[in-house]
Amino acid sequence: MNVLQIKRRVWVAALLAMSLLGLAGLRALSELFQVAQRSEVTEQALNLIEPRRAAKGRLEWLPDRPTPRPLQRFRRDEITSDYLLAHEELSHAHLTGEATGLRSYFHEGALEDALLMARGPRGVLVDWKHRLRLHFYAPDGATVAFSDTYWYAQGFPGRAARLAERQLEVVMQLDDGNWRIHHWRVTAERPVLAATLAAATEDLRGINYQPRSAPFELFGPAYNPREAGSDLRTVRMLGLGVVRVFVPYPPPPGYRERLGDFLELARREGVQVMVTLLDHYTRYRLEDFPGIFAHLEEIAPLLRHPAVWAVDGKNEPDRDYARAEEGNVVEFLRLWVRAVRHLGGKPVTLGFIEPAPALIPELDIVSLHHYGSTQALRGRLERLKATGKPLLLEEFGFHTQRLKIPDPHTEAEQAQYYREVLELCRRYGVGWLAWTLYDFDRGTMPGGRGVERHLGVLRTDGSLKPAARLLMGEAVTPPTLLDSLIKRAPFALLGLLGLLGLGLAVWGWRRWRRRRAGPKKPD
Amino acid sequence: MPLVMRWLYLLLLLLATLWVWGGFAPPAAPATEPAPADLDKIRVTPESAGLRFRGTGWFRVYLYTPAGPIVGEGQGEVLVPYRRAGLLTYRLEAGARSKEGELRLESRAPVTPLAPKVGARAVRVGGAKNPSLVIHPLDGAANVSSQPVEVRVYYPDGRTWSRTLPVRHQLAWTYFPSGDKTGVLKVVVQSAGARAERAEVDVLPGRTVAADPAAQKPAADADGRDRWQLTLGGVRDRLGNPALDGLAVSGVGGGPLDVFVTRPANQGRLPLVFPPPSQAGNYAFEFFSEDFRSAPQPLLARPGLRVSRLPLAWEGRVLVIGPVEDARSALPDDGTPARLQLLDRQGRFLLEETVVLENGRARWQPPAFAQPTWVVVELGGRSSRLEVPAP
Repeated sequence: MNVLQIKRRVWVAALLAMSLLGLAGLRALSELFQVAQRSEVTEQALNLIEPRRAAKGRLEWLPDRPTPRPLQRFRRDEITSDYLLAHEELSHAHLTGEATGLRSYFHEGALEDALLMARGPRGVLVDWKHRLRLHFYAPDGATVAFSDTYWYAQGFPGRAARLAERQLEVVMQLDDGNWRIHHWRVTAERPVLAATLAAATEDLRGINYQPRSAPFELFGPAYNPREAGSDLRTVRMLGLGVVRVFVPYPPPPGYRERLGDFLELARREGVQVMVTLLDHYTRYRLEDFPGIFAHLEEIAPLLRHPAVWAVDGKNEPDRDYARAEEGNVVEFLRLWVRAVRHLGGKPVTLGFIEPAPALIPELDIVSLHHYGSTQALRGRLERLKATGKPLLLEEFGFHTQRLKIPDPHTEAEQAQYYREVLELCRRYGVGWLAWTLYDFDRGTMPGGRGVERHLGVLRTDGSLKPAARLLMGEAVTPPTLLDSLIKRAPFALLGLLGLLGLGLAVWGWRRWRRRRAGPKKPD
Repeated sequence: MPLVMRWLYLLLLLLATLWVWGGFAPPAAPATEPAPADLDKIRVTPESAGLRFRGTGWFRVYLYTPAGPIVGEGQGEVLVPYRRAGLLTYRLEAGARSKEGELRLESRAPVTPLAPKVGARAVRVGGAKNPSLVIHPLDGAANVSSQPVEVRVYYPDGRTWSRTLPVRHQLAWTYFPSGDKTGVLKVVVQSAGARAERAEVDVLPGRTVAADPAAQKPAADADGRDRWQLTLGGVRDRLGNPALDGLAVSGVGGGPLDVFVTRPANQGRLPLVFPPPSQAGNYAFEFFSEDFRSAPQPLLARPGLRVSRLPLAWEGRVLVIGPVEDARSALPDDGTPARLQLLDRQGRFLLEETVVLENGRARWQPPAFAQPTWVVVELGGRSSRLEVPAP
């Protein structure tokens, strides 16, 4: 074997070893990835349990039916705890496929069912608002039979979610110190299915409303009924019939009283209200449904107020696709819309910028938001008209910030934009809600965008912009060349000053060069 | 590079690649869906193994159970292995169409063995709390059957008791009487041909309400040696059943008799033997147990020392007591106290002291007084008085 052959073999061996090391590294990475995935599932499972425990009205006992012996308080507490833990364990198994804990809470037929489910597809299963009624407590204190009426929501990735109220008959027994579910049987199931309500939007004219004194905090502690009443009169004066307002989630303390007061003011002023729910909520997790549903039940009596024209389930959920995944957003909203209609009894829409096709069949009114050109709006309206649903241009607007770079606008241009949009809406039979009533000189704007302060049809002092006069039916002069020149004058002036400064700088630099060089010496 | 080495290297590389690929392997892609089924023609049949959905074409079934959703899909036929009775709601999907449906599945006839729960394991005859029976008659799929349950109870005295119990809220239950006689009570259940192992309940006597106290020796000397003897017999319940062995019976002395004893009664009888106190006199003693309390039993404690001879004499200024003899002409125990009282002419106490006997004798020198005094000696029920000689 000569030196060359030895060299070749060494090279081959080294190459082989490096390749194997590289591949082993890849394998280790894949294992790490799998561990990370498992950790994520575990974290999700914890997230599944915590919001449910925090939800108000998770379980209540209704008055007992006559039983052989009274159920002592500590026994009732034990049963309550073990029953809820059993449902939590079920949710955990549903999410992770981990069935080990099920035997601690289920037995006999119920255990057979639970184990069967743990072998099924992974997904989220949440239950809440259990209302238990005791039918039997055995004389020996070791058997209870009760009925439970509760809500549940479940969802699989990529498949239709379900929301329903279920009535269950349950037998629990005390085994080795723990209460376990031995037998259960569904006696009633009331799914909340897609069922649309009639709504007309053709003649709808309205405006989004935020108070000048506390923008985007209408139902917060700064709520001022005097201001709200005055603004509603202004809305009426502008010839508008609807205002859209926003209720944040989680809501501020005392919001119900303020919303109730606002609705009463609106009824008095003859203005209808579109209530937008879940403002600021961006997680779209079924796990949050118990808390959100409790909020809905709390607000539902107000949604049935005669001043409420329709309910918007969520403002611009398509902004949250990146954060919460489009599939999750859509399935969450599918259940949410059904729940809102079920409890609120009013037509429901979702304030999409661009409506999600999968949710259009669920909606009574299809809403869209538009801040772009009127040509683009025409195309969108034509396309959405094909859905056959009442259409609502829920937000449109045009800012009047004169010094916005690189897109300054004038009030005359805003009026012109309004004229074109309203004409399109009239032509396509689409209702509209302008954004917004006032310019703002205080408060925090969404996204910190300065233009949000200049989208009103009224100035901060309450005076009318031309767009407001247009809404009132007055003739408004279209923007002229002079308007355009005036709009650009500050920028032209700035440009001239810039050029002048540049010229001065060049002149000064040349002068300095010349001085530094000094007078030329004679040869 | 030699050819063998090249092939070896390639083979190793291939194996390693496959190994790594296994780590990253994505989940199996779902099978492509063939022609969808006509949802209106899908039929569902309950079977012992679960629910069988039959149709033509491909479809998917979601069954909404209290444990969560179960999903099955297939071509023409889908078996969902869910066997629980009650209301079952499902959703069928095929292509873009979906349909909700429900069916109510009844439980079947119960199967052997039934598992009655009888409690308590032991009860008292004629007591306020009767034993109870709870049963969930299960069918072959662990569903609680709705078939009624027959229960028959056999008592120790040969009598029987039977009932037919309806199944409500997934159980049947009843109280049954404990009977009048002690012994073992047997419970047998049956439902639509299914049977259970016999359950048994020990029937114990009821609460003690009666007993017969008797005093075999109601009088005794209060000398620390003699004993009273009493017996509580015939301890029994309202129906005359003798008390169980080990029943706790207590006795308490009334008044100055500071006695409290608790003993187990056997065969319904409790003998008690205990000494009287050091103080002679009349006493009372009561027995009690559960709902029984006896009348007070009179007891007599006689004085322990009865002195028949108490000689006293002066040796100068010293009083000599003894030799003392009791009724049996024996000397009293050493340490037996004698009480001495010194009185004046009017009989007023000037002094009281105690001396103890040793070999039946004691000596005592009174203090000197200017006036005439008398001494009284008391011992074992006797007393003597004599004048103290002047100093």
